[in-house]
Amino acid sequence: MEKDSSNHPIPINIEQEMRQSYMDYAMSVIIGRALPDVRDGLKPVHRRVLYAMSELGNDWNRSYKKSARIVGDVIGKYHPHGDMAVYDTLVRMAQEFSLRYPLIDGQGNFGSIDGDPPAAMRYTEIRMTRIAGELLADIDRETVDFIPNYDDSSREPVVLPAKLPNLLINGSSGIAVGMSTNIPPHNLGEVVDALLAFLDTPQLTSVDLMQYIPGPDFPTGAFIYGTSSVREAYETGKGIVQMRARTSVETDKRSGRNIIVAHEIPFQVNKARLIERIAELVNEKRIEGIADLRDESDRDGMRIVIELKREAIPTVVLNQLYKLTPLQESFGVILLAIVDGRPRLLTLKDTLTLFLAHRREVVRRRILFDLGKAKDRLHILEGLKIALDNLDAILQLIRSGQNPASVRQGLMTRFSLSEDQAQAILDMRLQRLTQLEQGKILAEHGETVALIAHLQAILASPREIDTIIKEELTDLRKRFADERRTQIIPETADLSVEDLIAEEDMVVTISHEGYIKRNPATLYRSQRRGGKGVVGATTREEDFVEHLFVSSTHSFLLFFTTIGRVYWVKVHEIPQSGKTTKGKAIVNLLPLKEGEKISAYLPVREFQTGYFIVFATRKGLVKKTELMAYANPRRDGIIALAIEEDDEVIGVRLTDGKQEVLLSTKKG
Amino acid sequence: MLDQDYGASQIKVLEGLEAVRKRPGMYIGDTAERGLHHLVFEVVDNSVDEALAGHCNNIHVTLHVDNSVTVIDNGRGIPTEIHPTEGVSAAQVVLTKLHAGGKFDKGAYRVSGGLHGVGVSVVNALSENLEIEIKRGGKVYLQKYHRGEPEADLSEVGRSTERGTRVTFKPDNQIFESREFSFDLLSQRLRELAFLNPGLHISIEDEREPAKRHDFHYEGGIVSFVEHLGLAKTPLHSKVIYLRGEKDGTEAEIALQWNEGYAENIYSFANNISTIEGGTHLIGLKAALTRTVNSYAIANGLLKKDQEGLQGEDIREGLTAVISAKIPEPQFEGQTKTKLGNSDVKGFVEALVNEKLGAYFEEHPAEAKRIGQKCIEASRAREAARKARELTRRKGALDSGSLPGKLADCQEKDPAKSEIFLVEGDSAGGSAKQGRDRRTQAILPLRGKILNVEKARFDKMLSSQEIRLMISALGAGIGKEETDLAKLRYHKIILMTDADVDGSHIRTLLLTFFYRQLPGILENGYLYIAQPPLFRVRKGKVERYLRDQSALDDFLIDLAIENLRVGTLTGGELKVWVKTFLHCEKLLNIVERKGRDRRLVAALLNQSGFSLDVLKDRSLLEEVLTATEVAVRSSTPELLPVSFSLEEDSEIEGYRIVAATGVNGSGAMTILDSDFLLSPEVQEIIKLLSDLRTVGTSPFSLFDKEEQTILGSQKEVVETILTRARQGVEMQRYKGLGEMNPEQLWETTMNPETRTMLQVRIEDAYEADEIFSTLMGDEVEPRRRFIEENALAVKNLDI
Repeated sequence: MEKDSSNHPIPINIEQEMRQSYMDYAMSVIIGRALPDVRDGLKPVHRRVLYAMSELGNDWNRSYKKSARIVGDVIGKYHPHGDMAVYDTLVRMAQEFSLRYPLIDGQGNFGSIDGDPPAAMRYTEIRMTRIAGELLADIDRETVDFIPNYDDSSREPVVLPAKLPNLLINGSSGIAVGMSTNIPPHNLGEVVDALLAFLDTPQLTSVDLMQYIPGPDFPTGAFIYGTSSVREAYETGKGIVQMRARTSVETDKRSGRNIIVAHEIPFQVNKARLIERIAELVNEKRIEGIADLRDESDRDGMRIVIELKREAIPTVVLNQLYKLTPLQESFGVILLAIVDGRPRLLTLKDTLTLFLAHRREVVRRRILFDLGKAKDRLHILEGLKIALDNLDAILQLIRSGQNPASVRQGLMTRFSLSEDQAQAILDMRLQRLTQLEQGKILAEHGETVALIAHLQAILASPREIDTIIKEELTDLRKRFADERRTQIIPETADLSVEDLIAEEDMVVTISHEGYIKRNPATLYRSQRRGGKGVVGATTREEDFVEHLFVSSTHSFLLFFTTIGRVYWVKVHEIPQSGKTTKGKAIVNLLPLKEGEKISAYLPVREFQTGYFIVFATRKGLVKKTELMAYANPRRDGIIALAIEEDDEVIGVRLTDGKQEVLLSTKKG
Repeated sequence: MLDQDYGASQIKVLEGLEAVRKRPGMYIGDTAERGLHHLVFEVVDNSVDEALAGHCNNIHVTLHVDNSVTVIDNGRGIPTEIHPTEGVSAAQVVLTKLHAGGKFDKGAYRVSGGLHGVGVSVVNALSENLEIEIKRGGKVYLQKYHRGEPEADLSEVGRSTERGTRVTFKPDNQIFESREFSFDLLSQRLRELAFLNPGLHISIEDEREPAKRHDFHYEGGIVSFVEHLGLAKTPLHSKVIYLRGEKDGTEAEIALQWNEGYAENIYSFANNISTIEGGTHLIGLKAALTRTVNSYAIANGLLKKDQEGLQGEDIREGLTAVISAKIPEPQFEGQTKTKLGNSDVKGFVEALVNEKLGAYFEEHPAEAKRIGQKCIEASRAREAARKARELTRRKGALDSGSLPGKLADCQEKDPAKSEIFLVEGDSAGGSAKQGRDRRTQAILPLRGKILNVEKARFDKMLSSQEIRLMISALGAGIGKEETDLAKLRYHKIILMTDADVDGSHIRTLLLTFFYRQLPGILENGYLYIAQPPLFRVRKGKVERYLRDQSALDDFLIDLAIENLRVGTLTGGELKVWVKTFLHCEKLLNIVERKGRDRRLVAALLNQSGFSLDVLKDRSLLEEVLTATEVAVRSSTPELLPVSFSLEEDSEIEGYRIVAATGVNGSGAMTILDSDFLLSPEVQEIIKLLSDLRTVGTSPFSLFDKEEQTILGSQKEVVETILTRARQGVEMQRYKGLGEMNPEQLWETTMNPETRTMLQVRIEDAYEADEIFSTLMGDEVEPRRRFIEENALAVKNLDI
């Protein structure tokens, strides 16, 4: 430390210290840790793993290497952090259920969709996959910038050349500070198609591009519900995509009962935890109708079996499972990535544009590199050509020379050659002086001249570079594209309450004092001769059952009040309360105003045209309104008919418009 | 002493400002930081008094690079006529006579900032230089002082349609220990003044590196204040509760808002002065709050009658409040005279709050219910926490054997001599334990990232293992009411985290813990941050540990200039020259931020013929500008074409320069007027540029022993030197403390003889509170905004 540092502490303002330390941390996490680069779709740790593997020659066509070796290299050379963090990263890159196109080919136990841990890194072995090789292709041809590593002892790439749009095909997720990213994986073939189309027509919008990329494609398959949310995500960078498991309803051979089988589950759902969750809900009786639950997954694939009770309706149980368990899960898309050293929220179009810009740069730099090499070669070949033209003079010079250095100098001065050229002549083997070999040198010279012209032509024309990118993409498509796994259903997956409730007939009773309840019709089964009857309902004193009717759980009940308002109640919303109870006062179900009483009700199965409601008031007013006028339920009710000050509704009936209405008065 | 006569001649009567210079402490408290900042407040208070009287709505404070300060207001301007009894201008009377000013006569000002009143004359007495400019009645007057003595009489120097007073002063280095003004300390007070004086626009600008600026303007008074304090928090009720009352000339205003957080934030003021130590008005407020909320809770069935009542701290959890009292005859007590002593104020405030807050609760049942429930929740949490705390305390009741096993304690029992290092991670803990001085230094390794206490309730916090470890090791207890600093076992608590960004993060988490839970430790200055070296550099046999980038630069320059000669400069001279160049570049950055082209300014200021007087002489000025154009042509041709035009400037009876340049094909205008050229940084640049000319003129020859390199510009010379410095240097950048040997850690970071430490202090309590709420709180949006706004200011980026 400096000598001048004494024991006097330097004062620092807490706010200043907080501000600086926090910003250092926040920006480092945002830029250098949690978010992927838009060009290669990799976070620094992923990039370092891949680069370390490529430096070790751990390619797809070479033998596996122990994971621990790679982890050691990554930590020691590029990434001075914990070993477990690096190993976990590496494991995920090898998991087929995590990455749509795994970047690492693992040998050994790399964990399972049940959340089982992978084997320790001393057991497992890895190598790059072919796709990972494509991300690194041309890295040694000066296509990307390199920066010093953390201790300045070696260098690492800032970004990989990335022939493939890894950000889209494998997705990414990460939580930084104050922001996070969550990008779903996509189908390689579709993304390549979109890129090809986009190269031809740069004016395509994110929505236009959806005809090539209809939506994410998860490694675990399953369904996506709702194209509109996908479109929102692609257009704005944010959107919530609903994923739903692929299920089928079968009949169990042994028990003969219905079973629901889940074959594919939403992305990133832990199967073991999913099953625990279902079991939990069954035990808590929040889902009814499930008799048994088994995980029958094996090497043929996933198979979660949910055995139903006999009376259960499969679709209702299934809908409840969707609602309450990760059998249906949402994926909150946030297309956030690092662009030019800053985090930026992107649209689908942006990601493609930025990827192509990266590719154009890589291809251009590669051609420049090749051009440099070709020019160097041409230089040598020109030297050799001069040598062939002046063969005898040169041989003479060499034979009379004292040492190589003086001969080289002689060659350089006499034939005005460069040092490199002179050295190449001296390095030439005698057999190259045969006629045949001489021809080869001339031929190569010609080829190199042509090559240089070709490369220069490409550099001069952006279109040529695009053509190369297109060719490469098409080639990748041929080699790596596969079938889409996730099926997209255009409708949304919103479940209404009715989807969760079995439709069954209910006996609804309403007492004179306005107590209401419902019970399944099956409760009131017919008795044989001599049956004693059962108690259907109890009432308060001086109350009696006034109405009793049968209706479906999915039907509406319309309640008309004395002041002319109408309220809706679904039959399933009425409390179900056993045979011997009196039920609940209707006022509890409806937001009635003071002095407002129920004067009539009407069960309606469905709102159809051609039906009418007929009203009659105490003062003798009658009115007919189409049933459809009441088809839009509002929680607070609406005014059904205007009522005068001292009048009130006394009766309401449903007619089909052809029936006769008979009103009788008090006096008959 | 004994030899001397003690007679009448020994009795000295100190007259006027001489007395101030002899005993500055009597007038401004002390000659350390507090007194220094007091000078600014004294001047600002004068302007605020103008505002209180309704004549001024704009005050601007500027901190200059040379530690001088300018305060400008748009008030009436100090009277400039000759004073009837003193025979000099009234302004000179105000500046040279103690206890002179309009405040002493109720005629000019009705209310004024009570405590100070020693007058701006004290500021004058304690300033090396002071300059006052008064714009009044269409004329501009100027007078300069040197250590309280006028250099000349107040004189008319020009005309202006504006009005107001500008005071620029530079504190006297014979008086003050340090002349570094703290931007934050000044900001805090100016913000308060802006809140307490609705409508008044106050701004402060720091021209030193890094440049900062704050603008304070609040129409809503203390309601805006509370809203501002609650910006990063989620309020329980969107509208701030405002209570106001007046009785017998005493006036009180209170603004209250509860939020979902757990911290209590109450600020109190009496006559515009921040009463940090509280006092009777605050006691009244607290008592009334407790009573009102309790009676509301009981009356509305939130609290059962037989249940234990809510305590004050339950009610104040998540409360942001400001109370401002205006009292005709204020009495201040306490060490720093920031505690209100008037006993009648307590009853007045209490009655006011009881009545008005009670009424508010009646009229706003929904809000009242939310507040009541929040308080009850807090009391439940307090109960849970008490149980948890008892657990830690019961352990503490046993002897030292109950200290956490991970703590490597020191032998010393006297807290004043003991230090504790809170170390990140076990790896570093090991190094620290082996490297420490076991007599006075204790080590407590903390594992991983500790809990963010800003987001956690008290009881949850106490359930965190690492936090409990710290609490029991420190021994002072926890919680605002329960902390007993007398039992604190160490008076130096040193945060020692790795020099990487995760270390920074852990440091912020620890600071949050101390700020929110043990603020007493911060207030007493017990909290320190260790400064482990960031680099170890070796070149040949020279090995050094370096704290930061600038220390590294210094070291590298030293290495590079060995055997080097530029022109006639070698060794120490050359080093000074390189550093001067780097410093000048920094000042030019300021110029650039002010919207002037740095290359053009440098070219102009670098003309030896240039001085401020030239602005008054057209022909001389044109000569200088022609020379400037030649310089631009040779050194920065990218600016071409350059053209200058002159405009008349009535304020100096001279000219201002308007320069048009053609940067990158698009034109740009740079205006250089006397205000700009007079600014301290320009003065500094002129000086530095002339120093830099010692190297000679372009082309420059750089000699490395015999080898000669020819370079075109000064910039190239410096760049070449810095590049050379890095050759053959072996550099290790420390990422973790565990990378160092115990001996190295001791030598560089822990040895009290040689180490450097930062002492953490709270300078601006509002800013501090806001920053903790923003950075560590629940709301993500303000944090994201903060990050976006500050993204460019990041110093260390670790990728």
